[in-house]
Order: sequence, then C-alpha cells, then structure tokens
Amino acid sequence: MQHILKGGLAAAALALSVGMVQAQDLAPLNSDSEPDRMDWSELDAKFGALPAVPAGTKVGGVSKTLTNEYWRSLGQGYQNVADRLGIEFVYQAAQSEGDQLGQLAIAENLISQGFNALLFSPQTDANLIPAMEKATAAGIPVLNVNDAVIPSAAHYVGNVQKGNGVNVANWFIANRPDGGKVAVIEGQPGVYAAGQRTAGFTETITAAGKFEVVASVPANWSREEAFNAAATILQQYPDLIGFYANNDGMALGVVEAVKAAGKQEQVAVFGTDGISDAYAAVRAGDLTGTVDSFPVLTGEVAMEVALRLMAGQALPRVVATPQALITKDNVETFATSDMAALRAALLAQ
Amino acid sequence: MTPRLVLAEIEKSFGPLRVLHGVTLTVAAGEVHGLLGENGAGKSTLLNILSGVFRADAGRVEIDGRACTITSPRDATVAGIAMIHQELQQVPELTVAQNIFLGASIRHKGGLFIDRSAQETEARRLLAPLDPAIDVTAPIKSLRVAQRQIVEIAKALRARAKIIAMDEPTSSLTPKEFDRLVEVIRGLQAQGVSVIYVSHKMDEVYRVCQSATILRDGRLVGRVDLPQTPVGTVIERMVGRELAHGVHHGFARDRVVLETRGLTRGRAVQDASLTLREGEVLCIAGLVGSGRTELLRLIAGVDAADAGAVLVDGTEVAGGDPRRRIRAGLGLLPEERKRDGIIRHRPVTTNIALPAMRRFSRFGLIRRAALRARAEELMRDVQLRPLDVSRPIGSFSGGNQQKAIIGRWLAADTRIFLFDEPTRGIDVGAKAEIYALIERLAEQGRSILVVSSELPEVIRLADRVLVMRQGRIAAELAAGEITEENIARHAIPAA
Amino acid sequence: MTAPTRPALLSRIRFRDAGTLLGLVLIAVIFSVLTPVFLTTPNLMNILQQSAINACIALGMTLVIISGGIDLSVGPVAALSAVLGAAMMVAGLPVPLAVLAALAVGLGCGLFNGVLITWGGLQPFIVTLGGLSLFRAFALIYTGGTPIFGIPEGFRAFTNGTVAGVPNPVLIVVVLALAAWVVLNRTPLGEYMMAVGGNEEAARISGVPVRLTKLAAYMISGLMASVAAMILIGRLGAAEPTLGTLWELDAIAAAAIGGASLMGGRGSIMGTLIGCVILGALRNGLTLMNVQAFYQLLATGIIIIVAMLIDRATSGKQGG
Repeated sequence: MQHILKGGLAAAALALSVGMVQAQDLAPLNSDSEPDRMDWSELDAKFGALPAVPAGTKVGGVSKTLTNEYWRSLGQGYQNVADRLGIEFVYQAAQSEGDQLGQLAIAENLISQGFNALLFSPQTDANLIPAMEKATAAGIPVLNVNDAVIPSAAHYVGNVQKGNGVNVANWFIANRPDGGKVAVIEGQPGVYAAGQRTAGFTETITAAGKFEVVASVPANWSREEAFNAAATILQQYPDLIGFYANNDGMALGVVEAVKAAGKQEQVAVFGTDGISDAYAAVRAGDLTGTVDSFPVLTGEVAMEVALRLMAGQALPRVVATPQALITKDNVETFATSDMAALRAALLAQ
Repeated sequence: MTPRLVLAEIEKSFGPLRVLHGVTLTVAAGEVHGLLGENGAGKSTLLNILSGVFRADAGRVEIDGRACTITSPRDATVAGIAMIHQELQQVPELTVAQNIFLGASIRHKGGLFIDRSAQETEARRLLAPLDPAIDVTAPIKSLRVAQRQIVEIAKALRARAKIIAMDEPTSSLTPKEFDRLVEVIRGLQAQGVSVIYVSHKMDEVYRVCQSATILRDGRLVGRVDLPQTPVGTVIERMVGRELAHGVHHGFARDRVVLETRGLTRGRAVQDASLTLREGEVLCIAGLVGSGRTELLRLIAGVDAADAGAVLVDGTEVAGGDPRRRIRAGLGLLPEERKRDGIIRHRPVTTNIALPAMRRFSRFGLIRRAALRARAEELMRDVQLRPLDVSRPIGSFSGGNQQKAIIGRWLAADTRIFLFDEPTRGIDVGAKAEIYALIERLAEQGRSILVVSSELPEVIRLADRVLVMRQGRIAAELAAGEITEENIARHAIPAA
Repeated sequence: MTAPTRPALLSRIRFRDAGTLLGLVLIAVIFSVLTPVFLTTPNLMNILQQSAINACIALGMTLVIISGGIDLSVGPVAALSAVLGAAMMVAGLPVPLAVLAALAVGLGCGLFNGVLITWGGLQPFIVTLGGLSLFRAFALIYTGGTPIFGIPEGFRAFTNGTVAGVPNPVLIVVVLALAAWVVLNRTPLGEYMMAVGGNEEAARISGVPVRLTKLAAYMISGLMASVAAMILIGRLGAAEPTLGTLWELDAIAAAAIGGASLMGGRGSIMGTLIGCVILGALRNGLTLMNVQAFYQLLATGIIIIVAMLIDRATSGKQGG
C-alpha cells in the first residue's frame, strides 16, 4: 500500500492499465558496436539461400520522408524483393524529417492492418518506440532499418555509421601524406548516425597524427546551412585541405562554397550516402568522393533479413549492410543500377 | 437646358441604419450649389456616393443628361467628378507637380519613365490662373493648407473635372484665404465647371452659392435659391424636427460628485479643471480637435494624464487604470461605439456584464440566469429593440447599441456617466429616446458629462456648458447663457 | 427555475460546431466505405490517441487565439518541459513531483511570453517566434542534443494505459477540454478572453483586466504544452529536445477548422477538439489507404481552406 501512495499517479495508473508491453530485457542497442552482429555478405553462407515465402505475406515499411532520395531508394530496394517474390508491400513516410508524431501515427496505423513484418526507419531514436512496442506485443517482427537507432530494437539492419567516417579518414591518410587542416560538417545534433560518422572520421584522422580537425559544426542536413558554414570555415582557415560532410546534400553545399572561394584544387570534399547528384558531382570532379551505403541494395538486404526472420532463422541482432568509398577512380563500377552486378563488385572488394 | 449633374432618388443604408432616403440633387453647368444639413444629415454619404467611395443602394446618376454608373473612385474621375476632402488626400513628401499627376503621370516616349519636366510645365500652366505663387517643385508639406487646397483644385482641372465637390473647404482658412478661394471658384464657374459646396457657415454659403439642397436626417428637405431665401428659413429647414426633441429639464443638486484639477495631457488637454454635481448634465462644447474627447478619456482613466487629479466625492482616485475609475463610479460611453464601445460578436448580456462581472459570478462561475434576468430588466427599461439580449450586440442599430452601453453602466451601478457624442450615427427617433434616457439618469441623481458637437443637442440637454478651445476650458455658460451664438463665440479661436 | 432559452449566440456557435462535426462524419463515412479497417474500435481509439497530443496543444492555442493572440512557441515549450521533466525523473525525483515541475516549466514559459506581450507591449507573433527559438535552444543546450532515455516504467504505464479500452491520454484530454470549456463559457476569465480578442479597446474601457487576461491565456497555453510533453515522453519512453516541431501549425489548423477566428474573439473548445480529430482521422484514413504523406498534406490544406471558405460564406449571411 505504501509504495502505491509513494508512486503517486504513476503507480495508480499502472494498476489501471491493461495490455502493457513486457519489460525490456534487451540491452540498449548501439548498432555500430553491438557484438551480436554479422556482415550482409555472410548471410547466404551462414544461413543458406532465402527461404520460400508463404503466399499472402504482407510487409510494411515506414521511413523518414520521401523528399530525400535516400529513403526513396531504400523503398525501391524493399519493393524489388517484394516484386521478385510476390509479396504485398506498403511503403509510407512522414511529410518531412521533422515530423516525428506524424511518422508515429503512420507506423501505428500500419500495425492494425495485419502485416507480417514491419521495417522502420525512425526520425529519431525515440519517436517510434510506442509503435515498435505495440507491434512486438502483437507478435509482429520489427526491423529497425538504418540511421536512427531505437535502443530497444531486437533487429537492426544498416550500415556501420562509424565506417562512413573511417573510410573518408583513410582516404586522407593515404592521399594527403603531409596532413593538414580538415573540417567536419555535421548532421542534426543528437542524431546517432551524425555523431557516429563524425566520430569515425575525427578519431581515425586524429590518430594518424598529421591532421587537425579545426572545425566541426552542425548544418542539420541542410545544403544551405552547409554552404554557409563551409564558407565561414574557408575564410577562417584559408589553408584547409578537406571537408567531410555527414551527408551528400550538405557535401554539395560545401562544394559550392569551395568553388565560390576558388579552392577546388586545394580542398577535397567528401559526402556520405551516394545519392545520384553526388555521383554526378564525383564524375564532374566537383566532389572528391562519397561513401555510398547503397540504399537500394540496403533495402533489398533488409527485406531479405525480414523474410529470414519470419521463417524463424536466428539471425544476429545487427546485420551490417554494404558501404564503399566512391571516388573518380571507381565511380563507374559502382554507378550501376544492376543490383546483381553491384553485389558482385562489393563482394569482390 | 440639361443640368450638368442629377443625383436622383439616392438610397443608402449601413447595416440596419438607413442614412439616405431617396435624396435628389441637381446642379447646372457653371453653378455653385450648396449642400446643407446638420451633422449626420447625410451630406458626406451623398458626396461619397458621388465620388465612388460608397455604392448607392438605389437611385440614378446623370451627367449632362447621360446616365452613368459610378462604382469606384476611378469611375468618378472618368465621369469628370473630383472631390476635395476636408482632410486633403495628398502625399506630403511628393512635390506639387507629382501630387497633381499622381496616378496619371506624363511618361517619356516608351512609357516607362516619368517625364518630370513635362509634368512641371503642365502643373505651372494649371496653377497660373489659380495661384501663380505656388512652386511646383516644392514638396506639398511645405505649403499652407490654403495652397494645398488650390493644388487639389489644379489636380481636379488636370483630370478635366466638370464637377468639383468641396467638403468644408474653409474650415481652416483665414478670411483672406477665403476671399482668394472665392475668386478661384468664380474662375471655375466661368469655365463652366460646376461646384458642390458643403459648409456649415451660412455667410459663406450665401456669398459663394447660387442655390442649395437641404438634407435632414438623410431625407431631402428641399432645394432653395439662395439670395432670395432668408437665412432664418434655411436654418429652420435644416434643423427642422430637432426642436421636437423636447425641452430641457434640470435635476441638478448641490453636492459635487466629480472634480478634476488641472488635468493635462500633452497639448491636447491643458489644465482642465471642472466640477460636476449630483443629478447635473454638464455639456462640453467646442470644435472638433479642441480636446473634449481627450478630456473625457483622461477622466475615465483610459489615457494617462501628465498632470492633474480626478476626485470622486472629494477623494482622489489614484492611478490611470480604467478599472479604478469604474470602481469609483465612472463609466465612459465612447463616440466610436464600434471601435471602442462594443464587443461586436458577443451578446448584449455579456456586453452589459463586462465591468460588473464579479456581481454576476459565484464561486468563479458566471451566473448566466441571473445575468440574463438583469440584462432583460435593464434592456426593457431602456427599451432595447428588438428586446433580445442574447443577440450579438453588433446586429443592433447604433441607437440600440448606445442603449445597451447605458445598460452596461447601470448594471455596474455607475453614478457618473461620461458620454462622448451620445447620438453620433443615431437616427432621429432613437436620438429622442437617448435624450430622455440621459434625463432620467439625471433625475435618478446620477451625474452626466456630455461631449457634443451638435449645438441643438447641447441646448436640449445641458444644465451648464463648458466650452473648450485649443485644449483648454475657455468658458463656462450657466443655464441662462446657453445659446448657439455664445457657444460659437467661445469655441472659435481668435484669428 | 426553468432553463432559460438558449442564447442565440450559443446556438450560433453550436451551429458552427455542428458544421465541423458534419465534416468529421463526412470524412469518416468516406473512409469507412473505402477501407474496412477504419471503423473498427481499435482504429478509432488509435485516431483518438494520436490526436490527443495535438488536442492538448490546440486547447491552449484556442484560448490564446480567442484572446486575440497567437502562440508559436508551444512545440519548444513542450520540448523544454519534456527534457527537464525527464531529467528529473531519471535523476530519481518522484514522478508526481517531476511532472509538477515540468508543468511549472510550461507555466513559466507562458509567463515569459505573456509578460513580454502585455507589459512589454510586443507583438504576440514576434514574441512567441522568439520563444520558439529560445526554448528550443534551452532544450538543445541542456541535453546537448541527445535524447533522454529511461523514463520510469510506472509513468510510462500510466500514459500508455487505458480505462475501459480508452487510452489514458484521451481521458486526460477529455478532462482538460471540459476544464477549458468551463473556463471559456462559464467563468469571467472566458468572457474577458472573448472580449479582449473581440475588441481590446472596448474591453479596456469596460474595465476588463486586459493584461491579466492575456497573461492567463499564454500561461494556460504553456501549461497545456507541458501536459502534451508529459503524455508524449510517457508514450515514447524518452524525451527528445527536438520534439514538438511544427506542433504550433497543427494546433492552429485544428483551432481554425474548429471555428476559431485568428482575428480573435471567436472560437470553440468543442470545435477545436473536432478539428483535431478531423486532422487525425484524415492522416489515419489516408495511411490505411496507403496514400503518401504528401497527399495527406494536400488534404489537410484543402480542409483548412474549405473550412475557412464556409466560415466566410456563413458569416457573410449573418451580416457581420
């Protein structure tokens, strides 16, 4: 009796509430460092070919927003597998990246429709938690696909976010042996992917000894904000040799700022994601490189993982998806829309 | 001969208030025609219809025998009608020439750029017969009002106006400037331009006009030929039934309930001291802008005074907050009821209850039934029509809104009523009712301060009159001295 | 005493509410024909639950709008009280105390807005636009941009719980709406709000405490924002400094659909609630039909504008 009084309204409400979620026994997920993991390339080897899919299987996907090419491509990957195997697939996204409650509503609305599995790419680490709990309670497997990480997620498919930054840092270490000043244009503060990408870059390049990260500023995924930030940094550090941007949109903003300052020769600019504009810019020599995380292929892998889970396979908690640094040297190899060829190229790496 | 302008059977209403009842006016070419009537007789509305600001609900407009439809100020300009407002509508920063050609500029070939020198030459040509002393390149703001009026006339001539309407053109002119204006008007006449001349000043009207149309309460009283008709007759026809409003009754007692000492706010009100007794109706007369409204707002605490004190029952009411003044027993009934008086969308009940909300609440909740009962009782008493206190107050006529606001202060047990133009925008029937109500308030021992521009109203209501002039109380007229002449003599600043 | 006949204005507002309700029924009928899931009890509860947060915000917004103002800072106020409340809960403060403190944060933000608007004489749009950045900045700075996890399960259980199948957040909103209705329609404060919004100068001359009335409206709005924040962090199990983005627009939309005039002086609690449900039902139904979010935005826009046009047409008939 005492503790109910002490717990006040919260405990009283607990007594009233029904249909609550079970206690969380999973440790909060860190998708980059989770030990229970495997790489996408090992799936076939360890778990065999994709199991057969029962007729009438329905899968739903909720992603951030379709105004961003990355999420459209991811959906394309889901759809590819769904089409190939005759699965009914529904793909929805919120109005904008800021629309957290809208995305939650969409996710909740999908749960009531009898899907066999759900693929969530949440706006933030927290905003889809109720939907995930509800789905889990209803026995629907939920995959957290990329970017924001739901701490209580049982299954995660996506890139090693830190790897993005590490790849770019390694390029600088290999190609700019004299070292120098570099800067980072960060995504939205507090977003897991942004933090990990920045950390991967900064830690790796600082460890090499000759480089100094002179600025690391958030531009909230916005091309315009990135342009302004880069222009300021270039003015402040005229001897800067490189930028790393947490995504391609921002990287393209940085490219414009570098061009405006007339420093294309001196400053190398890298992005992340591998959107088509970035590929074009790499071809044109404006953008030095981007870390492609192959959204279409990621979508395909995620859908395959979902189907394996539905078939009862005991996959690790995290499945890492492919990633590669794209520069002018290899841009043509990876700029293919033929997924089979792309898989082969990546496996050959 | 076909008349230059015929306005026939013009009708106009604003919401429930009918302001023009089939008014007809005829002006011949080259004629100067007076438009006469008291405040609220419908003169401004008629001119606004002529100049396309308002649309008539019914009636015809004919110019030189041809029917024409005027639905916008632009139509009026095209039809050859120009209006010279009491408040001149000019851009003070622009030059004389630019103002004359505002909206009709002369362009260089190609039509893109304004040809300033051509405009200035043309402006000079237009102004030459009117007042050649005016510098067409000077900004309007550097000119005196009389000159600005001349510029307005030049602008009308530039637009080839056949009819020029002048609304109180002499309200701020010196006698000499008036003489000059008369010359200009004669010149216009000689060119065949017709002039409609609105003025309150009978001597001017007799000097300038050949004929006049008289309006009263939105109705046509008649057309008179001027030199032939005696002034007395004209005034009688203008004032008409005003006299039927009744005669003055006094209920003033000796006890002073309100006193102001040296109230001052900027230049608008300077050192205003007055006393108001129980049951007294004290009117404040004076020209528009003499500080009457401002004084009333100071007393009501709506504006803060720079200096001075307000005493109720001999005790000073501290603070400039209207709420304190209301608690002390004061209530303001503003002139602009729509703007300052009513909450348009709310019912009469809540409009009445606002100052006395506490009286109608218990345990923090409004007692709707009690409020409604009280409101109905009060509104029956003041004869609200229709007697439906749950209707939005905005749907009532001006007179009934005023009755509701009187009810508002009755509900708050207000003892000192501050009326600003109590019958502005109210039709004749309701006027008489408002007068009767004010009289009843006085009879009940309440005290009333009335600001009014309508002299018959002042004469009808006042036990005593204060005349304001240029922010100061210039004179006090006791019961026997209240005449139009006396008021006017004190109200008009010495030239 | 017999009940007095209903005042005409009340019946007029109720007429407007009936119109909003008709709109909702129309939307519901269309969706239930198009998708069978729509009219099931779990889905309807879903809609109500999803509308609850917006409803909380919109109730406060309605009072602010009625009193002639606007509150653009509601989202960041919610974010600030969410992260502060969550931090206190995580730090081990008893949940009721942490909730009270979070609500106090909302009241404080409302006080800040209100004081600047009334005594500072600044425009509500600008002040709350400043608040929009300011409170968001406080929330981001305090958390360093990262979400706060670890909301106590007991509190989560309360916000995620149900009574007789009705989600607790919905019940909270019902209670708040009743309170707001009483304030607006039965207390002097409500009349003052309508008077100040309808004609501030006339209200002042009539002795309405204009400043206190406005201050109260902004404080209630801030309070409602923190209530919404509490519901949300309970549901999410985390408090994010970025939560509440664009909430102000949803709330204004709901109030406007429900008949609130942005000119002030008019609005209805019932209408706002129905407006929230309309927005929620629209989003829900279109998702069920697998229509993309862009078209949901389109539909929302159309509904707002149609509601305004109907308002305009009907108020024209009333003769102003």
